[in-house]
Amino acid sequence: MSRAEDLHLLTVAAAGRRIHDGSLTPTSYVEALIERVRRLDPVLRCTITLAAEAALAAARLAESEIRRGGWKGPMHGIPIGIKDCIATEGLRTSANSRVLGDWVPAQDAPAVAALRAAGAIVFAKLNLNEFAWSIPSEDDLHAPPRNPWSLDHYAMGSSSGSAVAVASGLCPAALGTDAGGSVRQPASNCGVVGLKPTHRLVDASGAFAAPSICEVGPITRSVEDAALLLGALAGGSYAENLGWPPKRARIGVPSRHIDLAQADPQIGSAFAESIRVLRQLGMEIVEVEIEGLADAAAADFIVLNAEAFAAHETKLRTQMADYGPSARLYHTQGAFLSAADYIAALRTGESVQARVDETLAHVDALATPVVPFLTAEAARAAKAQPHTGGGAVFTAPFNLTGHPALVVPGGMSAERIPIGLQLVGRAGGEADLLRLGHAFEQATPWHTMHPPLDAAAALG
Amino acid sequence: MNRLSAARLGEMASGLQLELGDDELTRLLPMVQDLLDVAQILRQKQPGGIDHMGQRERPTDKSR
Repeated sequence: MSRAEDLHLLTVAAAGRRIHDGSLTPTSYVEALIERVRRLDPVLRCTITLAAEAALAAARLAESEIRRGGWKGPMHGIPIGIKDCIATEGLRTSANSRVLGDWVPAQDAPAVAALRAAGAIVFAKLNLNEFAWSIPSEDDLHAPPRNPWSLDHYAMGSSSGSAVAVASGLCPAALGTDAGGSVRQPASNCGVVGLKPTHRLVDASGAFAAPSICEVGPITRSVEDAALLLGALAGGSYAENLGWPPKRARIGVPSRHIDLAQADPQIGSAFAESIRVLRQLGMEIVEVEIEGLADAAAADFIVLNAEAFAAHETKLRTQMADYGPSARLYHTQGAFLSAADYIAALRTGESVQARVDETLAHVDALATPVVPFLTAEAARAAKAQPHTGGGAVFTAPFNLTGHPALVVPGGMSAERIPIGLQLVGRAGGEADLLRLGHAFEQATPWHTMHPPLDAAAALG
Repeated sequence: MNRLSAARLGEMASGLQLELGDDELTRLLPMVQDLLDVAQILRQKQPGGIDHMGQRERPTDKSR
């Protein structure tokens, strides 16, 4: 696999091995991906800023360090995309908003600094819903990314650009932010892996995000890669022992909560098939009842809206016209909540967190679908009220409770749009969660599939 | 649930020095109404007031 056309298929782990053994240089890898971005991104629209010159300079430096015996580990020389609401030193960070315009941060967000310290190369800043909290539209500063599996659809957000870039082979991994499902939903919708870590395991400062509920997390093409990135972000060696299948893990399925969401039938079928695979892997499937999960989803959006307004209050007063039509309203609505509303939402989270902890004392993980709808447009057509949690009924509860949640590819719709499976683990239990996800991934074909981008290349 | 009027929402926005046009207030009204309805339900379900002192589940650290 040396042709530029094939390098985009490498995972972080595979590219890291080849860079280490000298059969791939970071420079040739970065050059191949720059060419791919320039060819495909006019159609995919997932890149806001391609850091071509800086990435090539960093690649040459990595090459020199490795040649001199200074290999830093499997991330060394790997190009990574960063959601454009996460600060990058010396590189424009727009959050896809005219409010920030061409702002160039003076320092990296800690998550970006951690990746650079592990040897990763900041390759591109990736598209998103404005400030990660709005309904995307063609009038946005940067028009919404298209789903590479079906170019007629937008990719789900808000880390849409990160998921599209990884699924399309523009970079092997990316960072996103997740306050209600914004890493997991686009990962599911684009057929890649997304991890929302335990609250505060990864330093999320330096990202435009609601601090009580938002996490910075990796989007990758394999569970192993998610483990590698988490190791760089949080410290620790999550990628070790991934191949040791969990011993007869007990998986809890909150069936009543899932049924109440009335997910698209194809999502229900894919979830049932995923459960069958887990059972075939020797895992015990048990029904669980966790009261208040739907309330927690709604409460997560109370917290999100209150904290979004608190963060944007001054700019909304002085630069209201610079916000897009949707972001303006999404960031304003929290102004009308009371302190009692916000406290009730936090208390809902405490109650549900205790119930999830209690359940996870008896089972090793929870399994749910990721999102009740196949496409972003279907969610909107169903009036899923994203601002109060309707479309995030499976993902948002675990932002409020702080539990880690991993999304792995779990099926494909008749329209060839990917469907994900969500696994939720104990707080701080990422190692077990990743082993479980890895076992599922290796038992299913979904992660080996790639979007049909030849037509997109022709269009571009 | 208490219904919010566009006029009342406009007064509140103005009090917060948020410049929103009539069209924006019209689009914002159902969003805010949904949010307030949800918040009211959550407040009613949460035994956090002094009349329920001691009954609330013990807060836990979600970052453990």
